[in-house]
Amino acid sequence: MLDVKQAHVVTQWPADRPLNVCRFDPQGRYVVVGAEDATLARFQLSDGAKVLFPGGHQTWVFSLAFSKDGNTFVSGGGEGKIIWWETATAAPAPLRSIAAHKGWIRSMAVSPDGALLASGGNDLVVRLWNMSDGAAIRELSGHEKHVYSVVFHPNGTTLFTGDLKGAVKQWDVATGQLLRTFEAKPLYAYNDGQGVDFGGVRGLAVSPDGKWLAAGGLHKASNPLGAVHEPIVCLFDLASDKPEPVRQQIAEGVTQGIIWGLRWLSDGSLMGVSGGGSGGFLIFWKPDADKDYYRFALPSLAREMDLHLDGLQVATVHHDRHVRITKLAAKT
Amino acid sequence: MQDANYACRSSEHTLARRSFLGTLAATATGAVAGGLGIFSSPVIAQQLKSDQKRVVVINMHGGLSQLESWDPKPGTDTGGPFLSIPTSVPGIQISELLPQTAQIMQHLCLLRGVNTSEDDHGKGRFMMLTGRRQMPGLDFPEMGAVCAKTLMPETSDLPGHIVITPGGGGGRGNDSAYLGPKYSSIQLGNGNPPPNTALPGGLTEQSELARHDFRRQVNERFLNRRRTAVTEAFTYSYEQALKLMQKKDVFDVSKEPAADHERYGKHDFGRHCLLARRLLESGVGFVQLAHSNYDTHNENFNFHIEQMAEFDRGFSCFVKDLADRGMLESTLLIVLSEFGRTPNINHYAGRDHWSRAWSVCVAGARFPRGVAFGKTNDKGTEVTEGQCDHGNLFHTYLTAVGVDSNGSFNIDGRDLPIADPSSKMIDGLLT
Amino acid sequence: MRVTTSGLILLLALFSAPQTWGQTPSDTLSSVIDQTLAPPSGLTIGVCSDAEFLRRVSLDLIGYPPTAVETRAFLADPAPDKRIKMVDQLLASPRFARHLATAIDLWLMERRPNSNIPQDEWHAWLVKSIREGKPWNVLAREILNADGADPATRPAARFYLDRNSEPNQIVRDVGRIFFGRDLQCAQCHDHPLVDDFKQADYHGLLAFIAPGYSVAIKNGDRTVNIHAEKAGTDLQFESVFYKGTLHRTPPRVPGDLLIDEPNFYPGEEYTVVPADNIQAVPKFSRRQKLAEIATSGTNRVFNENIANRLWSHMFGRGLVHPLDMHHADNPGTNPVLMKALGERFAAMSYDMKGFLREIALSQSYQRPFDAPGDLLTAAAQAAAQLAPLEAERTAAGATYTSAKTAFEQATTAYEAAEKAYLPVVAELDKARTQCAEAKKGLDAANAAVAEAQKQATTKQEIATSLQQAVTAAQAAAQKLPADAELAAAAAKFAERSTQVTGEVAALQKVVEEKTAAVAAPTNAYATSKTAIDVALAATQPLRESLKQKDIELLAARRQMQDQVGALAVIDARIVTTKSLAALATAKQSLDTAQLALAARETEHKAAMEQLVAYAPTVTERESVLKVATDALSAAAVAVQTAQAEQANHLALVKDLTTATEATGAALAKLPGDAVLADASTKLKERLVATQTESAQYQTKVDKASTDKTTATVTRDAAQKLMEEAVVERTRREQVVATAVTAVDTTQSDRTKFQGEIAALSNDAVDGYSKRFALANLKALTPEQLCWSIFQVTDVYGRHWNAEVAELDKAAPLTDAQKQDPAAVAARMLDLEQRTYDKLKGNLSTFIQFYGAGAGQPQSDFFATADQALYAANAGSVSSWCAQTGGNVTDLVVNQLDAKLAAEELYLAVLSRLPTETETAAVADILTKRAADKSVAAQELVWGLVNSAEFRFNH
Repeated sequence: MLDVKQAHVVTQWPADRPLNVCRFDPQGRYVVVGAEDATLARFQLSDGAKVLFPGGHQTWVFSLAFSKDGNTFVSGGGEGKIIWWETATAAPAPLRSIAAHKGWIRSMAVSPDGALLASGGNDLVVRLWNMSDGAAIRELSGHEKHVYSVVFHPNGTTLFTGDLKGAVKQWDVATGQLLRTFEAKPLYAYNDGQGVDFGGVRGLAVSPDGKWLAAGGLHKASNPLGAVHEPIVCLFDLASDKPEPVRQQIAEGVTQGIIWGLRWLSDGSLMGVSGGGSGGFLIFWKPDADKDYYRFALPSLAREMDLHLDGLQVATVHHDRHVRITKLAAKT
Repeated sequence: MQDANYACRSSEHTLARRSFLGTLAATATGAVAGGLGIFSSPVIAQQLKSDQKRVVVINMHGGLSQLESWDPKPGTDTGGPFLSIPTSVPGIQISELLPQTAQIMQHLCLLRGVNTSEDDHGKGRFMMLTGRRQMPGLDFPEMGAVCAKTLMPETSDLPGHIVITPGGGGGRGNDSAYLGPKYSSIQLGNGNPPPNTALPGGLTEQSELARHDFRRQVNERFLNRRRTAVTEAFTYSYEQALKLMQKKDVFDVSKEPAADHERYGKHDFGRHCLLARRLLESGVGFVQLAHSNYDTHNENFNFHIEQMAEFDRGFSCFVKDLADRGMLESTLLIVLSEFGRTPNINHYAGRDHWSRAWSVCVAGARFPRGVAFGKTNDKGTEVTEGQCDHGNLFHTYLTAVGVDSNGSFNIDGRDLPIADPSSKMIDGLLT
Repeated sequence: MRVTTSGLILLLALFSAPQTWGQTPSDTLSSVIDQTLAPPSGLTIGVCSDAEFLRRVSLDLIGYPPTAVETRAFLADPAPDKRIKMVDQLLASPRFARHLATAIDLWLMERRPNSNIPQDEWHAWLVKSIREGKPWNVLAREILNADGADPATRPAARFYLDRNSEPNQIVRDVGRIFFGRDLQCAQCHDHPLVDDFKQADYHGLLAFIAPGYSVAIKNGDRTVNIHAEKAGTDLQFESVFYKGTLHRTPPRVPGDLLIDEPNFYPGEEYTVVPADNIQAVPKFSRRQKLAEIATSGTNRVFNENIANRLWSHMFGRGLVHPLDMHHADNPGTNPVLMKALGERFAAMSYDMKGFLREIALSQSYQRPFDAPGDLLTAAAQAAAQLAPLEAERTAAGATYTSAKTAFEQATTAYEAAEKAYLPVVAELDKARTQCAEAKKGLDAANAAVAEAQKQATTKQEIATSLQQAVTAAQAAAQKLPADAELAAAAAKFAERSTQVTGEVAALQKVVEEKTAAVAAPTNAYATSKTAIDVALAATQPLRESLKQKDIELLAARRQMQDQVGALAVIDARIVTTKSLAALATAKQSLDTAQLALAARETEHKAAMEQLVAYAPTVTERESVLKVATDALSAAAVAVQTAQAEQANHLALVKDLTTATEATGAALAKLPGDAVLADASTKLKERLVATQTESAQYQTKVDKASTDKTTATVTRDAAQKLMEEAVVERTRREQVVATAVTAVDTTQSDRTKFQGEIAALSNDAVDGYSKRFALANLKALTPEQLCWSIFQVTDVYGRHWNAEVAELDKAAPLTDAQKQDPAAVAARMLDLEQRTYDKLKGNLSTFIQFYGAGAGQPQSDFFATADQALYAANAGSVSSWCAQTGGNVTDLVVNQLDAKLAAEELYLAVLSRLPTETETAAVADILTKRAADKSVAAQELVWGLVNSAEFRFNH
């Protein structure tokens, strides 16, 4: 039974390098992780058995996405390639490799019907691909800064993409037309003294009922270069025409925190994962409140997370070279 | 104990003054002197005047990551996510963040063996700009002041030491130590012209001419009583100011072609590079500009993508233009920081302060072209070849532009070594 | 200071070295100055004009130029002693202390940031000190002694605190500012360029300074840094050039002897031991000792430094220059005067005002700055003076050499004594270390006792409380005997009390044990102290020997310094004399060149005359030649004509002959033909007749030929004469050309010698300025410049008047007070302070443009374009020069008489009357600009304010 206040770490598995990204296999068998190197790793949930996926990328893997059936998954790398892999293989080798972007592919998502793959990255472009054969379908241009996150609407007709400046664009999947732009301005700051841009839509999630769009990242960036900032989520009401957030959700006291990923839970809560000065957190908000109602402390700074299809298990990846499985329910 | 040697000092001064008066007599206006500094080495100054050298320092403020720029280590634990790319010089690879710079590698000299052993911003900056380690009770002039004194003709209408500050500001810097304020930087806040270069409101052109005419008349009568180096320096400063006002356009980068603005990039750094080009072409001997900010303890890679892109564009255009215009032979360009950044990537994906093995990039003057000098090990944690520090670099920079770095300034009877006498230039590097 | 008797005598001798200028002590200092600095012989150098004197002395003593009114009054004053009165008047001005405080601030702090002591507090403290007449040695002692703990005297600690209590920074600046010696380069080795700056000097001074440290303490409700002090030790050092040779020095004031300190056993050095946020107090303060020795009046280095700085304040450069490079190789312009100034200043109890007064009254101070008119006359006598000078030099050189040898010997002797001392003192160090260890053991044992005692006491307190509880419970139980619970409780209390009492006894026992355990470390400590005594005793004779050598070394060093100084003075005179001699030589060469030029010009003229004179001859011969040539041509034509006529005639004869012969032949065929016969006859006759004429033609030809020959001879003769004339003319032209070259050469010689004379004269004049025979140009400090502009544009006057009005309204003086000089003086001080406070905000701009960088010497002149741009374009200077009620611009505008307008202008801004040319120039401008007179007047004021004459004090 979902009960976030009973959340506890069930297990953890070590990796070779600090980890950046993770995704559960939709069949619920595996969690796949990307690290600060070119090799992916697959952990079997039942026993933690680890298999490495080498030979695909030249550098770090920043994004992962599974096919709807979970039999294949794709990884996006810092060199701009998308690689297709067979999930359950015993002898991993790239199935397909396409030169998809110039520079990093920061985020990927597969459409609810499983047909399309969306990818976005440092070349400011969002691309749609045929998930089954890797054929390019459409290119969506309009972001002025690096694209940090992409996510499909649950109904599959539109796509949301967020960038460094906090712009979240909603696109018509069928036509590629830009429908509207949400401004998550609190997520971005230009620091005049340091001369740097900082922030970005680092987590993006649409509620299963299609009502809420949540864009997460950081604010209060008084010293971007020194990691002084706090996590924040901008909540947009998709039913309204308002381009600005209807609510800013914060987590007071999580210093040096950034929202790296967002998921909606079955009880209507929004869950974010954050790093922070004193470790990592899973943070929980209700859509009608500014402040989090619960936060669960993780043992090390977390960088990404995914929610298992059971809605209870959460995978988090950490700088301390571990992937952890947390259960949002009482211990059994 | 040697014999008293005051006599030779005084005769040196005598010589200097004569040379000064000689210059005076030789000019039509009868008012030429920039101050008293030159008198310690009139011969050297004369020599250099015939072939004026220029120096540009680009200060990568905060500490540029050598791994994301000049000395990438892709595919290692320390290398980060970026790849390296080939350059116009076979065998030399640099970070993929510098694609345009890679195309002009034939002009550059990478110094990959820098080890300064100082991880403090202030101290690192001091060392890299003065060539010495900081010591209590001692202050040293920055490179710009040294260059202004050794490279600029005393009679130049333009300041010899210009610092383009990234933010606002303006006015005179406090960076010349014992060389005196004459050699302090004139700071162009965010590339704006020096202060007070426009006539005050309400003053007519005619009135301006009249008041200076009268001032000159008054001076002439007074100087007929006694003419000394200080009176000449004083009266000349007004003429220099007037010439500076006439040449105000030199500081106006908007006068550069729109196509160049486009090429250099329409951000501050691109504009400052273009302004630096304009200043050099107008005869300014030393220009320092900065690019902010590389102190990336947090998200080193995100920040370097953006910062390096700006840098790559402005810098590559700048170098290419200097080369195309035949100015690289006489111009030394230095890209430095206070230190590099740690090979270790911290938990905020940042890199911290690291001075044991980092890189400086130079171009022009007597530095070899298309060369990577010095090496670090596989993970970039140690220098394995061609090690040098701030003192070696300072000597080498100066030697490259024809200054005897083992020489001394004579300031009011004191001999003060131009560069750290306990250090020396890098062996076998210069052409 | 403990010294041996023999050392003391020697020491006294050092401090009372014979005065070499031979005056009686009753001579005023100003007369001593003038006698020592008499202008070079042969030159007429008097004193500057009244106007120049007034501006100079005003700027030097109070930092402002005089007002036009003051200048007018001074110029009109016929009193012969008006300069003396003026000096006294200025010294009595409230601005005197302000100005001297500013100068002393610049010496001491060199515009360093005010990080611990606010500028206003510091400046006010200096002003107050000077107003109170605090002597320099007292001021210096307060600064050198300062810790900043007492809020009342805290500003004095700025010297240390705003150098962040950094010992090496402080050593450098104490050395430079209080002793005139920049020892920084001697930190790591003997100074590479200055033989006189020893590493030992640096470390001797450092030994005084190094115990100082910064500690934050609570001062009222805020935390402040103070410059506290720890107990010091001897310092060991070695040269980075000669590693391995260790030296050791106790504290030693520059130019003084190493000091003795009382012996304190480790653990007993402090009255208050160092701890966080606590000011430590050592039993022996080195800082106080430094202050005491330096300011005692006997330290020549300290005395000469300040005398030199005050001198520089008035003259624009030190007798020794740069001010912080006072060493044997740079003994300054006049070491004898330098020594006298130091001694005199100490003898007048470091009274700065009195000292400045003496300087201001000296003729030397009042010299003009113009080049002397009779320089060349003086130069002519120079060569003759060289030989005696050289002889003097040789003698002084010999004295110097022996002094140098003595110094080297003394150095060697000292180093030998040091070498012998080092191993013995190392034993003392060892004993001290052991004693410190023993003290630590003792402290630990005592701490253990205290801890046990504390526990026992605590337990005892519990026992006592329990006992009381037992008593109370038992009393209650007795009153309620039936209450079993109460009885049980009482019993429980009693039981517990007994138990605790037992525990107390146990703890008491621990106390006894711990107390007993103190005995051993106490003994050990006592023993280790005895070991120190023994080791100390062992060092004593060696230390005495070292001190003896130190005294001898110092004496030898001073002797050598004095000899170098004496040598330097002669050398300087030789240089001057040589330079003058060179000037004389150049002048002679110039005169020779001048004469030669005249001669060459005469020669040139003569040659030209010769050339011109010959011209008619050439012309005449040319015409003769032409006639002869023409004649010859005519003769040739005549010959040709005659010959042609003859040829015609001969052809006729030939034709006639042919015809005659043909006719004869025909007649022979037709004899008798009468016609033919007649024709034949006639032909023959004609032939004969014609033949007869032939001779005539020949004669004609012959005659023509003869004529031609004659003409040829004539022509040839004329031609020869002509050729001769051309040669002669060329020769004369050559002579002219040679003469022209000679003139050119001589002229360029003359230019060269004129240049040489100009350069040598300039050198000479410069040299006279440096040696104070002529005045120096002194650039106004940023503060002087600011106040001077405010003074001459009446900005200051307007603010002053506003303050007067305000005070007259708020606190009017009573009639009685107006008669009371003290009340009036107090009012003046008040007004000065108020006006200063209103205007001081402007100083920062002037400092920004005209001041040197923080921590750099502030006395070096520099001129930059940004200063001129500020003065021209920032708007403020122009606006101060604009016409405002009653200021100089206003007076100029409203003065209809142009001459008087010019007078107002020059008196107000340049503190002098204008010359006729200047008056005319001003009048001209004001006439031409009648339409915008106000603007023109503003330009004039601006022009004068921005002139060299205004920028410099001269």
